[in-house]
Amino acid sequence: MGGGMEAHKNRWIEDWSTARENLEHNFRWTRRNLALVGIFGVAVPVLIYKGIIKEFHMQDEDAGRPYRKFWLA
Amino acid sequence: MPEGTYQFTQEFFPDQVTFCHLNIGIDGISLYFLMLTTLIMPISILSNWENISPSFSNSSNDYLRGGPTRIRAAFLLFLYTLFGSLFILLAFVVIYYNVGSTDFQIISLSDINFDSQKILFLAIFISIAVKTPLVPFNTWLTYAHSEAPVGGSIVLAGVILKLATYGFIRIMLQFLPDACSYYSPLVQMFAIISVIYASLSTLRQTDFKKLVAYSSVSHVAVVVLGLFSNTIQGIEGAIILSLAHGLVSPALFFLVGGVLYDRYHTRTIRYYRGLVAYIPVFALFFFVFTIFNAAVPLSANWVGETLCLIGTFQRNPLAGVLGATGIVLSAAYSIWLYNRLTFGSSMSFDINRREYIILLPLLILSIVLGIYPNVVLNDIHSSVSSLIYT
Repeated sequence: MGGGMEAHKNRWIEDWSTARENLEHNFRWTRRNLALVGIFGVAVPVLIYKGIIKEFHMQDEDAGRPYRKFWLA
Repeated sequence: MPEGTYQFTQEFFPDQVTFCHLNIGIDGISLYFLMLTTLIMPISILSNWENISPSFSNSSNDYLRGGPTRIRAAFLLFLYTLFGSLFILLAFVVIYYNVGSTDFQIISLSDINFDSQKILFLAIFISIAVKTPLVPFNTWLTYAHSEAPVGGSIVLAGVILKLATYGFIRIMLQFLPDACSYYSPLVQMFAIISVIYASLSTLRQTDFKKLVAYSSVSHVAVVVLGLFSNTIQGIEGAIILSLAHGLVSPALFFLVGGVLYDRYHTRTIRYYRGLVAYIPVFALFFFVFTIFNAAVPLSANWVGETLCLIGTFQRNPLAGVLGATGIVLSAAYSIWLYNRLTFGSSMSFDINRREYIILLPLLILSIVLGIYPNVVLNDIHSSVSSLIYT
């Protein structure tokens, strides 16, 4: 299978494709990257977690029962 | 026979060996995963037929040979799995020490105290989260999929990822129910993050195998959402979605990694265009499996995803809404991939008989489960009910 149909590799396409796959070699702790990690790696998950717990606690209030116990809540 | 118990049980070495005792059996939950594994294994072997057939003249490949950075991918897979499995092994030792047995029925009847459950949950969760995989433990999967041969990708997507789902159901929900409730917001948070981040990562992929791998992360995260909804709809939806994903994802890997890669020897999407004009049967199969992957109605994926999200929404509307954003993103990357590969102009050989035979059972089962999911739901209902209510 594939006899004679291999794609003719184009240097520019290969470079473009590789450039998007090299994060682990070219990552640096710049202020921008620190901010991105802080926002998407810490702040967003914490916000989602707090939101889910708040939703559960609102249900407990509506049902007139004590708040359910969750991790860190 | 009591509902939700094991059938076709087999006992090994009851008299010959004193230090270990093996009992195996099937119930409604494990039955369909077993059938999926039985279907996927010959498909994965057949999918690599060109490499293992004696008439194939190119001597550079064998069934297990992967891509150029396979060593790195293997290291990542090995280290992630080893790290997780260390904790789960310790957890099993603690369970055995407390309960006196590793038999599932005995452990499920015994009462593990809440503080122990919390620690055991964390230990087992690390391992199962690596295998699921959930963000941030998902790095190994994309490397493993892109470097593995197509048979390896099919087994990984069709069987190994389902082991994680099965582990959640069998070990965590059954043995550690109080800890599951205590940590459910945490797991739901990981699942929602996985759905959104993996879907956004999928949109920017240039390698089609990595694209399908990231989409697997997103879909299995919806399974986890359903499992931790603590509703019958959620858990049954999770099982259906696991089965559906186990049919559709191997088919997609076979189409991109087997059919296309076998012909063109590149996984970069930029090289491809216009496949519908020259390999229309491939384009048809690819279209059907792409839209099934995007959970279009009448697919088994839609049944599973809808039930998972309904179950999640019943318990926590915010988690349900955030999890549902994956539907939009899933449609976006699926349509983008299909459009990019199949429209334009190019030239190739269409699907041959072997490839047709591999794809046909996956397609038929996906459609049957989508139109009539009660085929599976009726059988798993009693097992899932006994899981939640006992």
